[in-house]
Amino acid sequence: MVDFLVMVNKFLVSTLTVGTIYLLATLGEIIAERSGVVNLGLEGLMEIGATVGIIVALLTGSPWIGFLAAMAVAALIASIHAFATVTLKLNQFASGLAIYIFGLGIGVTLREYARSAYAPLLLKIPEVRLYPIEVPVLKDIPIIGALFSVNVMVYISIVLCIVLWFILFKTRVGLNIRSVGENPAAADAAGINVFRIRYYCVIIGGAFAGVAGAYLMLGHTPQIMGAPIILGRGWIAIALVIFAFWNPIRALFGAFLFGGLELAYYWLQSITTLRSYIPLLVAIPHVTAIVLLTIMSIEALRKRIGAPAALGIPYSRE
Amino acid sequence: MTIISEDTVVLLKDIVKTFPGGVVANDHITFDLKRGEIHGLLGENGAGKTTLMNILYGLYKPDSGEIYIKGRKVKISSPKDAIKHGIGLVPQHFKLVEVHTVIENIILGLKEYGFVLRVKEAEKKILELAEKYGFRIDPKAKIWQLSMGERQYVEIIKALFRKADILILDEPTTVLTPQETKQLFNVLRKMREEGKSIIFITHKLDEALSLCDRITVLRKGKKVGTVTPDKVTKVDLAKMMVGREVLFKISKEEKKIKAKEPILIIEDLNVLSDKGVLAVKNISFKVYPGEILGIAGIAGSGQEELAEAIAGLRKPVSGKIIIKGRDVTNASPKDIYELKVAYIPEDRVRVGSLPNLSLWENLILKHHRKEPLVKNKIILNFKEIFKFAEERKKEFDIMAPNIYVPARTLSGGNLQKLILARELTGNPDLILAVYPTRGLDVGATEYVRKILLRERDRGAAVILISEELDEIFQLSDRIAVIHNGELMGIVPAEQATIEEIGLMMGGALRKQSS
Amino acid sequence: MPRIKIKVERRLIVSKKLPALISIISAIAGILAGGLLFLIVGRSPLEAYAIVAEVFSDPKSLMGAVEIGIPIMFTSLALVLPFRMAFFNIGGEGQFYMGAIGAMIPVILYWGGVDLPHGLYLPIMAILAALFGGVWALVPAFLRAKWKVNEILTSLMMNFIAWQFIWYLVSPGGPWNEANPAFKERYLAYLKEQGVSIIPGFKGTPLVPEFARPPVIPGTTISSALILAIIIAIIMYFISTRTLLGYEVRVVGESELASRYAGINYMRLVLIVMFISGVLAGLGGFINLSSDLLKLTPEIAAPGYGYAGIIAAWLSRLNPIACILVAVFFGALTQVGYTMQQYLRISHFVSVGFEGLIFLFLVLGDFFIHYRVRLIRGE
Repeated sequence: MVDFLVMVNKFLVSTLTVGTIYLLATLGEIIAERSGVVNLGLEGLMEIGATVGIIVALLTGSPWIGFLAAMAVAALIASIHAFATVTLKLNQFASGLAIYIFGLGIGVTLREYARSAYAPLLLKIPEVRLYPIEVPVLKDIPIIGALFSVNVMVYISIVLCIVLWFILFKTRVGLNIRSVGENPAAADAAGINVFRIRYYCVIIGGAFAGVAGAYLMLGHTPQIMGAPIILGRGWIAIALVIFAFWNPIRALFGAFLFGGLELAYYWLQSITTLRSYIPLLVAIPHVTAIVLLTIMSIEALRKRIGAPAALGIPYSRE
Repeated sequence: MTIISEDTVVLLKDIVKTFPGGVVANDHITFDLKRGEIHGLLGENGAGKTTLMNILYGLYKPDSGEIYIKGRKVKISSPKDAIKHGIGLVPQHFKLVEVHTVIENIILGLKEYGFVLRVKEAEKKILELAEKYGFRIDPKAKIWQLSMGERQYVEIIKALFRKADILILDEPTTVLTPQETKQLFNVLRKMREEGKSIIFITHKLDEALSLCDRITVLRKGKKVGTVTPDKVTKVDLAKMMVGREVLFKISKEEKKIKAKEPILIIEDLNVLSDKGVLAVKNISFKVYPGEILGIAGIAGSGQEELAEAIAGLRKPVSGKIIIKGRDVTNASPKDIYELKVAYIPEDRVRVGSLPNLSLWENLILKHHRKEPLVKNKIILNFKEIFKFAEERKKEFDIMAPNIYVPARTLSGGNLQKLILARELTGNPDLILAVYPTRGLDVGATEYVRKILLRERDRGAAVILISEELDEIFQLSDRIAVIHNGELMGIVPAEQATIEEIGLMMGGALRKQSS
Repeated sequence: MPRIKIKVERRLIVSKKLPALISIISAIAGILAGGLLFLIVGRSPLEAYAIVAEVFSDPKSLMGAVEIGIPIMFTSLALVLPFRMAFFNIGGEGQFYMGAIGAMIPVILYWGGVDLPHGLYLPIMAILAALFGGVWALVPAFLRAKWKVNEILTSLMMNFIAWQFIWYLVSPGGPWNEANPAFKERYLAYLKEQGVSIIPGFKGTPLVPEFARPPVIPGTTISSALILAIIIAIIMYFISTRTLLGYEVRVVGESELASRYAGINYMRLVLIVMFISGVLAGLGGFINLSSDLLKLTPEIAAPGYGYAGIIAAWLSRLNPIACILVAVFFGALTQVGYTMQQYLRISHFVSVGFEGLIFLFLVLGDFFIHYRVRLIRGE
């Protein structure tokens, strides 16, 4: 019995750790989409964030500077998306896709380059990665204890989530953002600078994506390989925004749900019959995403709850 | 003469505004507003009223001209500036966030209610204002739950919260019942007593005459003149607005066809709106070949949903639609079209046409599966298609360089002609015309009305949905009135009076249908 | 001093040549910018440009470009119709994989001891590839038509699922892995003959035999699939401009609402269009497998042909003939990637980066289709 509880704890710890990747990415996308801009480049920004995060961390010896650098670079690239969609009023899907492909290519390429160019640095990885903070005593409590054996970014993300919820729904800034996303003409008429808000939201959303990617590297699987590492999590995050109804608190649950789903294959391994099907089980999150999207669409058609009404539509005055 | 006196709160001097494409929306217009007056701005659709007010409110920048507010020359480059000068705009199309509450909409953009929103404080003030001016509103309600009249009050409160003492109301009564209009006028008069100055944009002559202290008439971008109601009649104003003798009656012949069998039977029809509420409630009526049935009612009473249901675009939840004896309640748009039903939709650009496709591609739409336009159901027969398109273009006098230009280059009137050309091909037996003359200039409007009469004389049945009571009275053989989704009654046109129709539109009168 | 103002005006007439011009400029700008990025890693962009110039000027490289470009021809042609009806099929990559999987079936059966007349292999593989790709594409199409589920997300998810499907089939211990005892008799015997042995832990299937590979155009190393691609391009051109299907696709792409009013059945149209799309992408996978990869392995994803197809289709402005040319261009870019991998020791993924940059410039450049920028001297 104890063994089982230990296993459950371990599972929860992993779920929280991995789920944080989804959470950070989803929160970022919620911010952008609440203001009315879809950013499909999320996955690409995460790849670049991952690369920048780990390389800067290795070079400077500090994971936190790595995070900051990842944030900055991702925000910079996201600003291109903002420029294209808000100022030039171009197709948001196309711009986001371009950033996805660009981010994927550059992120992986740079990583591969770093592998050969900075080979000796790779040995320093254990020094810069994040480790779980094991709170004595509390961590041994069944189930809840999992919350006390995770790395600090998990805590930061949960706090960010709550803060974001508060800002969106209880403050003036949040009301402005939501109004811009629902009816930019109304916000404009009320004297709000629609363009400025959308810029900020897209750029901040990009920053979150960068952090999410860097966190994947520094907090979960640090490695430098010339292959994509995000593997669809960024896209699932975009779907998660929909599952969460653009609400940060719901995003919290969705993110950790998918964190758990991602690990499902690992834990199902213990059932021998399933062992040979592991690669298929790795696809569980993706299949679930499709199923959930479909259910949501059916529900949305019936209840007509929807996205921010102006999502995806460029705003111009005349 | 425009004198800047102490009394003048707003002076727009020599304003010029041209839009891409060469349209001169405002041609050297000078307009002034005195303190404590209600000044009507009268003109047809497209005369330039909204443009002028948008300039005053900072949404557009004038090409040239000056603006003086309370005696000082100012530059208004955004609504923020306008608000700073005490100008508030109650727009024709409400700028409200439907899913947010009244309070959230009103305090949007205001800094005085804190970073962490002090919702209760705002709520109190809203209720105070409502009490002061004599209307009722629930601050916690979501906008989508409110009626049009209530939403308008939200817009008014928005302006008052921003300390507006100059209010611009853009066509406020388009969406109101006659009773709601009366209440609004009382509210406005109370505000005038308080010293507020009001610009009242309208195209309705009666309202201008009954409410306003002065009336300025615009026509095709130019100012025709400023008058006071005691010195002019409705006919004078109409002449100023249109520039020629306005015929309040089109010559309409007696119904030629006396048909026995109805072509359309609606039985106890119930249809949901996009919001999931019943928009059409238990409506029943019949339409006969060779007549025009005008459906009057304020926009949003369910007429659009009714037309969509008949056209097969919206499935009713219960009831029957029978065309030519066939039950088509759940039929597809294709089936309906094949029964020779034509549909002229409300939204010309997004629904009625394909803006980026060529004229010929627009003209063959709906007929595009038929021989000889298509060979063997697969291959397009360009020779026949172009011939067909050229013929239609000529027949309906569509002004365009050729049939290959994209439809978006057409003016509003020509676009409507394009839609008519497409829909009326093949001599339909039933025509659904939804606000067919909305936004068109006088020439195009007359053309459309003539076409509808022509079709009716040919033997088609026409359902005309219109918000212009004049138009309804001119064209209809029978007039049906819808209020809040219900059919209030059907009256033969010769017997109907405006008062009666107005009361039915307001839900205050029901008549046995004929 | 007179100040220069930037005035942005909306164009009234949209020129027909402008989009093509912008495509060309974007391609060049993308390459230039990509080279500049080399500065980040402390290398001279000139090295990058040199490699680009080399690849584009060497006839042998160009032939290689055509070879590599063939799958992209298929994946970009696959998108002509869906994109034109505003259906964002991002699932070309997954449909490509499924095509390869379908095409592999007869080969697997062969190595497992099941024989077919050699002449039938290519047609059967093609049909299976087409079917697998087509059916895979129907999923996002159906979900979108029936319940309005966002097709970008669903088609993308299908990519990752197909990817995992390949991993499952070809991983050590998986049913199609070359070490599978079912292949012992034939494949291991064949390998012994060749003097080659199995690499333990290899993630891949047995080889595609000679008779299951499309013939090469005599005198070149280019697969005859090129001819098929060109024929398909002509067919797609015909379909989009001269048929009822093409017309309805255009109408739907312009306004789904208006198309509904016109009686066009969205479900029927999208299923047909997406099936065709999946078929073409699947055929691309089949060609790639049987002419180039020769073994089904996860390496099939390396060049990202599906995603390249998206950019190529966009760059070609959905003109099927242009797709062929742009595909060759992207083939050249992929080659640039491989060359860079060899000489600059950079991941061949760099070609994806170039493609992404070109896409970015293209998307940004599209701004000039509708707007004109003028510099005005003023106060």
